[in-house]
Amino acid sequence: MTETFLYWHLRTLLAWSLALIAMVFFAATTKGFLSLGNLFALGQAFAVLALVASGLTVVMLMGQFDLSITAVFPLTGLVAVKVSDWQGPVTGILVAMGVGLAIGAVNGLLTAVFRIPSLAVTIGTMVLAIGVGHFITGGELVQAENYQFGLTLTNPVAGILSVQSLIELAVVAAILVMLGATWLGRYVYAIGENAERARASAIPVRPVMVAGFLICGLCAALGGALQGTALATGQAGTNDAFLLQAATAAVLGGIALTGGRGSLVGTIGAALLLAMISNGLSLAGADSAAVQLVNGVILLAVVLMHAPLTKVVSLRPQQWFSRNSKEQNTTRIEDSHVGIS
Amino acid sequence: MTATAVTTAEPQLAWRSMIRDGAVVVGLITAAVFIVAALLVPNFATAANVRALLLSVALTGIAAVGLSLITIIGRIFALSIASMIALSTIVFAHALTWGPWVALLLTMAVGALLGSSQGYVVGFLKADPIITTIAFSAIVLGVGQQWTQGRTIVGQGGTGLLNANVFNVPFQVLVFVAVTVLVWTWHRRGVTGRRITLIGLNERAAVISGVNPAPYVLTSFVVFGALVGLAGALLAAQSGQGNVLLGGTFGFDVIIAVVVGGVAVTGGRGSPLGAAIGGLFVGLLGNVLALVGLAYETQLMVKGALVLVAVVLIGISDRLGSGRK
Repeated sequence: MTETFLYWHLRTLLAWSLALIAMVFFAATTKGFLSLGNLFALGQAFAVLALVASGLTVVMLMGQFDLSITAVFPLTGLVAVKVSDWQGPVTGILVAMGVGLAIGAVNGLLTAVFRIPSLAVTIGTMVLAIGVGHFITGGELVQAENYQFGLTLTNPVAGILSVQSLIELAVVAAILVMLGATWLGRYVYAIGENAERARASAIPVRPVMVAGFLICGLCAALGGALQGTALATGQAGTNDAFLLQAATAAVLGGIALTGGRGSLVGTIGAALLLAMISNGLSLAGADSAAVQLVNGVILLAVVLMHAPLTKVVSLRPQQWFSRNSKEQNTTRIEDSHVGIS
Repeated sequence: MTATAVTTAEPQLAWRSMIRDGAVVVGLITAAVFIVAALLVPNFATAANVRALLLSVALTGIAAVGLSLITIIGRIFALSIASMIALSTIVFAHALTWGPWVALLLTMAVGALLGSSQGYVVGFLKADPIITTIAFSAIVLGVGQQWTQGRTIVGQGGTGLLNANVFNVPFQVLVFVAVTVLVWTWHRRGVTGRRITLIGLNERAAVISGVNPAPYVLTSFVVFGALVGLAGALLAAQSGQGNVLLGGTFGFDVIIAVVVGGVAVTGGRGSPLGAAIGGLFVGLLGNVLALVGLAYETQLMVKGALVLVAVVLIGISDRLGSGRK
């Protein structure tokens, strides 16, 4: 128990150490990486990634997954742009957040009440969100008439931050507090560890699960809406590269795919690492496909090292022939599924 | 005494298992929609439209038959389909100089190789299938992009039979039918196929009865990869071109076909035939909606709603079924 406990803390430490190494590496090799303008761009990319990855982390801690964020992110961006021309940008962002909450509610209710695997549910809402996006735009690029508000959002604050990234980081901080210091956070971990046991302990599993999906939908919506407003454009479809980054951040940050283990602090560190890698590679002249290739390799590397590492940590030599290790072995067979509660 | 009990229970059981078999239900609904459309929708029941419908369904269906094995064995979905299709079209277009059949086999081999590497990671290293295939998707697409530098590869040489009609039926449709029958029979009659379902139904029971899941997961992924390669090659054969963008929404359509075809995401329930019929149903619905005059955007919304309904219905029937045991 203590060994595995230590392991999940090490994962957080690993993510932050890698981020530090990447920072030193790019600062040393890539010209202009530490310039104020680039650090600002890095901060913008990091904040939105950290926000969406935090929402995904909450869902993953419950042993579930949310694929729909890949479509919610662009959808809410275009909703915000569309509504802002008509009712003002603040209303636009609020409506977009409402859309994110609605999709999160569908995800959560179907997963929790009907006990349908969240992957199946969220792939449905994902296709639905793509359809709604195309329906609203007619398949065309949406552009805002009034981009003043977008400029205000991205106005630098204290050099490397902006109103946009401050809002996003504030929500990340709120989720950090929620997971670490509230009952809701404890419940999220308890459900991820063992949903049946949580139910038997009178933990309100269904409401907590719905709340988790609402948080995830809200994070994707807020990120998408702010991004859309800031860029003053929106387009229907999916943002697979972004889902890849968010999932990589959570997995690299040490969130167990089986739920119940890992820390949001690790996710944030991994998000910082990924934002730096994208930023540094782009500065060095790599195109977006190459950045995505690198992201994919990183994710695969994490997946590959996960099983051996867990094995080494959870099976100490003196446990090899004890009953305890046998139990752990059989539970691992079940653990190879994700998203089935 | 016991004999009578068995005989009275049997027809009821067969009836219930038919209702619970997604393939039968979706098949009946598909037939009903087809008949209604033939009677009510003008221009539907023409030879040209039915041929176009079947052709539009064939490639999605081939890939869906492959994906259904992964879903049945309990590894949910592969999210790398679109990327693998895209890379397959590029491989096919490059290899077309050696003739269409060599190109087809080579593309299928590349697909099987990609499938086997994912299957190895998911099966033997016990990695999460969703995360693994997301990673592979990015890697495969990145490799395709680096290889072509975003250009369209125009194949040198004719595609021969691959894009032709046989007795007025497109060859690709015949391939779809052949693949469905072959994989379905293999899954239903073969030992490997039965074990794939056993592992999906109850992995622990499979392990205890001496079936190691890993090789079967690998096998499912290899068949899946080869069939996705086949679909990609046939797609490239339609235009004689390969491009990283050709995958498009393919991945989602294939997953929708599998879900709508009554293959349970929890594993063990459903068949490749169901996935094929699911693909046919989704294509049929799209065709009818287009003929009725609904825009492509509305069709997408209908598809999304359809997946949700299918998922909820299968989930409910699954719970009712297991509750009665």
